[in-house]
Amino acid sequence: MRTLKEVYNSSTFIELIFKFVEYNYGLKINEQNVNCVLNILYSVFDGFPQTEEDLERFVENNLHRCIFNNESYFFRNEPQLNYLKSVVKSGSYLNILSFGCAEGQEAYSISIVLTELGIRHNVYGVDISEHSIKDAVDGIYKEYDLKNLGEEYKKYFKKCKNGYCIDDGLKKNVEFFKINILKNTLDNLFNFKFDMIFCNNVLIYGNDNFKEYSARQLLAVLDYNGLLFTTKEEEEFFQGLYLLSRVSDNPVVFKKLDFKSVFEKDYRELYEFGDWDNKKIDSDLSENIRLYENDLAKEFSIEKCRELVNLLLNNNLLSEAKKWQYVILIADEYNKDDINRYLEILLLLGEYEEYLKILQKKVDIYKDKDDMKNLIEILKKVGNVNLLMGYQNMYKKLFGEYDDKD
Amino acid sequence: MAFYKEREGKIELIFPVSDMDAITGCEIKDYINKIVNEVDVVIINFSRITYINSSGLRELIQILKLLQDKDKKLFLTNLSENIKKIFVNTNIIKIINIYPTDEDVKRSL
Repeated sequence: MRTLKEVYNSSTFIELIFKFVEYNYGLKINEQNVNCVLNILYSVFDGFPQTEEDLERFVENNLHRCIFNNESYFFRNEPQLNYLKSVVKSGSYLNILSFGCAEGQEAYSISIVLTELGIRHNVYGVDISEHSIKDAVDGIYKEYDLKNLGEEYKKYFKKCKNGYCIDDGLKKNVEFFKINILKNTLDNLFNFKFDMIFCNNVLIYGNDNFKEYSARQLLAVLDYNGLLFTTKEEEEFFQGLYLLSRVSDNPVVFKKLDFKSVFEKDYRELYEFGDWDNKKIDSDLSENIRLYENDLAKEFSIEKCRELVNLLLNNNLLSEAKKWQYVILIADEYNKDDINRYLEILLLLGEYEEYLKILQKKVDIYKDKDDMKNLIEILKKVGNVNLLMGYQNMYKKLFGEYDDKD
Repeated sequence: MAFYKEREGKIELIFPVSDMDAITGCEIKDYINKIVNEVDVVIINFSRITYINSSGLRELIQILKLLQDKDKKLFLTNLSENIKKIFVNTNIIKIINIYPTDEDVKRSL
């Protein structure tokens, strides 16, 4: 028999551990995996973890067995690889990300396909599990992993002591990193953009925060015109991002639209000023800015903030102006002019994604005719059909039939 | 409850346990509003916060204004790298006092 107190304590402690995992890793422990987690927890610690480090090690080394479906093998997602083959151009040099790479089967499969085609490439695999990354780097696989491997690709494996070892030549093009996306960001880890990203059933295991964070980060490291491969189960998390346009249903592939060229054509006159942020600041000006900042730290007011933005804009310090203008908007006492000014700054800085997001918000709040037209025209060029139809309908309801000459 | 709290003399320590969004932020703001006359300093310990959205930032600024109006001080501690990045990117780091730990705040007072 256990006393009520013992039962109470143990169950809340388990809950605490689950909360810890969810806060720090965004991973959900639910009815399906709770028994597996508890079994491992008891077997690893012979009771309970004593320190946070214990728990972190537990998550990074053991938890993946319960939370992720580790049914990964070579050429598991053949439609994706066939699509890849059909779109790559000879002579290109591709950077590819395998997000949630497990033991590297997907990353190496991609590398095999590209090597066969004679395309130069680097594939980067990232995963939350230290344990999986180590296995991926070792590159030793079991019979099961090779079950879907065509005869023509067998040459990339040789029998070794513990199974089948991947060819050393392939390993040169494939690298693996451990990352906890809630603690570090992909654009911190990689200082370049990817031509393609593979995200196959990773987000479904996380909580909402993890899903949103991951989808946004993946979008941020994908190059314009880059491709994002995902699954039917996960497409919904990417559908809402208006920078992505679906280019294939089976496999599910999204393309990152080239916003930049759409905008630069329309707002060319703004670029003729050029070179906004490389201005030298003289000491009077920097002293003046510092005074404003001190004042704001002592007594924050929107009026002071606006004055500071004026000063910064008059001296072409756009990035700083943007930050303070953003503060004005989030402080929730903004007016229409504040939003317009923010939009203007974003255009000047070339931050079109943010521009579109804010313009959309402005339309949603104020429903101005001209804004709505502007938004519709941009959406037409960018090619996001769902959003476009939504705003065309809104326009129709409010102002009648849409006419771009109007 | 979205946060724990603790009083040490004239210092109120607030320890949010769920991510900083409109709901958590608002709960904290309402609480501070209630106790603002009883304390000189409010410390919000961010060690359990992995994420803050724009509504969370809005509530923070309102908390800051609320305290400044009464001549009280606001400090944030234990920020994760991600949160720090958001504060740097929005200049909030320039208007709110940020310290590594609660002890550092107490030493500075």
